[in-house]
Amino acid sequence: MEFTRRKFLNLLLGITGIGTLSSMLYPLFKYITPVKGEEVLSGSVSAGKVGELKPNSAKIFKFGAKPGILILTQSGEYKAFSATCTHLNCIVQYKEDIQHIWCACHNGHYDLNGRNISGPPPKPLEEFEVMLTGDEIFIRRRQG
Amino acid sequence: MKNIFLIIISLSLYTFGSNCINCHKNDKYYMEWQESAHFNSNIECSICHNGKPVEESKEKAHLNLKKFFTKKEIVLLCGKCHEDKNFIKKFNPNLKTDQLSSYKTSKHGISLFEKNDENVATCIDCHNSHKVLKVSNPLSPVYPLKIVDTCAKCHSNKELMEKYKISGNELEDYKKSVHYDLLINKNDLSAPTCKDCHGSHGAIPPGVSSIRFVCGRCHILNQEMFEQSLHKKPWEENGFKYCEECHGNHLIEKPNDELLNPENGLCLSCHTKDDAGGKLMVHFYNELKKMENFLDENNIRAKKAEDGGIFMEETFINLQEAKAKFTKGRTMIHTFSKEKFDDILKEGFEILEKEKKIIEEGFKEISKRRKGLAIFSIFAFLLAILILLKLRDIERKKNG
Amino acid sequence: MKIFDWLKERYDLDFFIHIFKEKEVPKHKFTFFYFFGGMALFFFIIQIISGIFLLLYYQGSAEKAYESVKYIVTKVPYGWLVRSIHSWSANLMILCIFIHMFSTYFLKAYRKPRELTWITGFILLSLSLAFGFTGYLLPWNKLAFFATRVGTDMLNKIPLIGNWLSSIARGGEDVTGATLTRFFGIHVTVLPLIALGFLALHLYFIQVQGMSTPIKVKIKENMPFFPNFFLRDLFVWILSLAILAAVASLFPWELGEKADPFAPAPAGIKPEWYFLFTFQTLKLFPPHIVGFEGELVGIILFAIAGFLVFLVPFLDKKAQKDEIDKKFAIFGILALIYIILMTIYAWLD
Repeated sequence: MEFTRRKFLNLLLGITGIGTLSSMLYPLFKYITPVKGEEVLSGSVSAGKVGELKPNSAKIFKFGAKPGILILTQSGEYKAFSATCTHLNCIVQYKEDIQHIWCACHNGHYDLNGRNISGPPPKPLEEFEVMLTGDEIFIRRRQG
Repeated sequence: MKNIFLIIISLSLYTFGSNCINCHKNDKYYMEWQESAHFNSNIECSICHNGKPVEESKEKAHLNLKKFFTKKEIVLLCGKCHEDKNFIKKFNPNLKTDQLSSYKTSKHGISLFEKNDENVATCIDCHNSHKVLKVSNPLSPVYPLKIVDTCAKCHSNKELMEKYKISGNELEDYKKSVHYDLLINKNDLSAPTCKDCHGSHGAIPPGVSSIRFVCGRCHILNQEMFEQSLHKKPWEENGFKYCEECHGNHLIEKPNDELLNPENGLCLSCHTKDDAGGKLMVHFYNELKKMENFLDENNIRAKKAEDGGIFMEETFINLQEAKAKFTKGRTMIHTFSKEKFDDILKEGFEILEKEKKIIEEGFKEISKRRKGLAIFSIFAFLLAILILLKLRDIERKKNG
Repeated sequence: MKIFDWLKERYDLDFFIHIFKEKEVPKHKFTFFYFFGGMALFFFIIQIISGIFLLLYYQGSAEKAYESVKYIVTKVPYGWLVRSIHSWSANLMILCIFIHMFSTYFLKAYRKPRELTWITGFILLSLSLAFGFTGYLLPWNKLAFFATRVGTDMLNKIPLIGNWLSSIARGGEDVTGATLTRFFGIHVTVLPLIALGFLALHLYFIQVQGMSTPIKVKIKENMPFFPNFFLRDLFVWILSLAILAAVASLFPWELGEKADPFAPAPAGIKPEWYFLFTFQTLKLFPPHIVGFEGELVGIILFAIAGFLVFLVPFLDKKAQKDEIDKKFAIFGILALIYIILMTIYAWLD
């Protein structure tokens, strides 16, 4: 009797051991399998393609956890800023008629250099660097 | 002529020095003056008090001395320099020189100059007499954070205010408002205080028809929408005070929807519950409450999912966007158009529905992880127990 | 065992056979403490394995570090688990090392002939703290950045060579991407190689000399290492693994916010718990003591204390003769109480 019980115990031990090991190896196996598509997010973000925007218009894009605004000026220059108003954090927009960046919440105005020129905003908008590679527009934080 | 006189004094003092300090250096007022902006510009005692500071003997130095001034004299004295553009631009080319003329248009100025009423504020009541500081200096009584308490010196005195049919409650009311909260608690120096609506030197309550422009400087969309709404005509016809009619003047509450409350909303002062206006009020209220609850629920759930280890960064950004739609909805009310209101809210609800799904997926992932942990733990514990049994078995075998 | 015989014909395996057949573990009142060295080893092995997996995706530059950890934790399947295990196991490993050190201290396992085991052990403790310090910076988040800045600032206080030391540690005047790359290289190659070397020595000494028994403690019997103590060890290791899996899953390690060198330090920056007692002690020192900078005096005192602990096998003369010198136990208890109280104080501060 002792003999078969021991064998049974060893069997159980083996099965449970393999079971535990498998439940550890499974996640590791899935871990090393490459994920389709996305690469590590680098410090720069794509904000669209050249030609998407008409001159004197803008679009909002996601810059990491925060919103950004990309403007194509009348003279054909791309400018990008943080879209979070420095007053009470509303999201700003572009007003083509006066060519200002404008915040609807309390009528704050910024010029095309991001400087706060009228209304409650206490600070300028942070400006981002725009890089054109081929036909894609990349935005990244100002270096240095 | 006066210019040359002042220049000569400054120059001579610069060359020969001012002797006031010999006797007055420990005087309270002298020391206050030394901390002031006037000290830095060498505007010294004799410019206001007369006398001859180059003299060394008291009698000669105190020649023509003027110690005390009436209220009118004070205003005109300060105004003598501060309205003189050519003089002021030598010291600060950008300093405005309209204080005296503005003051004469203010309630204070009108009472003083036209009614000879001395129960008014003059320059020194707000700016101090000797310790005159720049407005941008946080210690100045007219620094944005301090203006309220400076005006309160008189305007909270109910007895004094009664004579002018002012309630004296304005400051108490203002201190309960959202503007004061932003100013003091959130350090928003652009939040309106007394001077932003009433003016500083030309202080006067805004007129009935001009209120909307004053509020509209910041709340421009609300103003524009209201002007284009069907309420503009009845408001004008009845002489209603635009924004103030619904929102009050000093006690402007933090944003909430209680003005639209179906039971006692403000609209019911003119509308009935069953007319088009009353029904619209109820619609606004119900939709806004619905969205507010949805927003809160999503935020709480997202936070919970985040605490459980799921990344909700994008969700929080989108919920902020939904909140912006909600705020825009509240602003849209001023168009009194059901269509425009519904359109904005629809956009907000769409975002909220989408995020709700994402949040629920997050919870599913948490539960999947817990299940995985449970499976592993069961295996591990079973294994541990089996090892103990094996151990017992081996040691029993040893002992025979 | 055909493979075994094949090897035996070619190599002298007596050493290993001896361990397998003859190694014994004494059973006494304090046998329980024998587990902690093994647990520390277990967690170290977990660190190596989880660390290698993290290396498959982590990128050690200031531009990519935070984003790569974010990628691991949000996009890689079970990445969140591997990372959380790595962070938790680091802390559990250091905790076990401290318990292991205190137990061997109080049980005087350092006495002759095991002095070098203590010496290599102390070095391993220092290496594990260096692992913790360098590894902490790698996610390049705000907490890590400022904790590293405060930590390396301490080096500046050392007279004459302080500034030079700190610039070597930081790869520059201040904590920058250069610091990150440096710490990454140290954490992933330099420290592991040195640690494995000393670990091999440490384990070799133990196998060759056998387990130390506390002075004047009654030994009930000796149990064979294989299979009796081994199974007990395995049992403890599996329980440790279960506990690690549970905390790593139920309390996942936070990502934090990306470090911004130009932002001001957030209020209440604290190092990890195992450095808290030194941190708090230095905070309590007055700015100047007898003309020297207060913090410098504190650092020197800690260095002296560390050096004395390092040399304890040679200082405890009575133990070398298998006699108990109560002074060392008292000093140890005071130190332990001080460390615990200071840690709690710093936590609540």
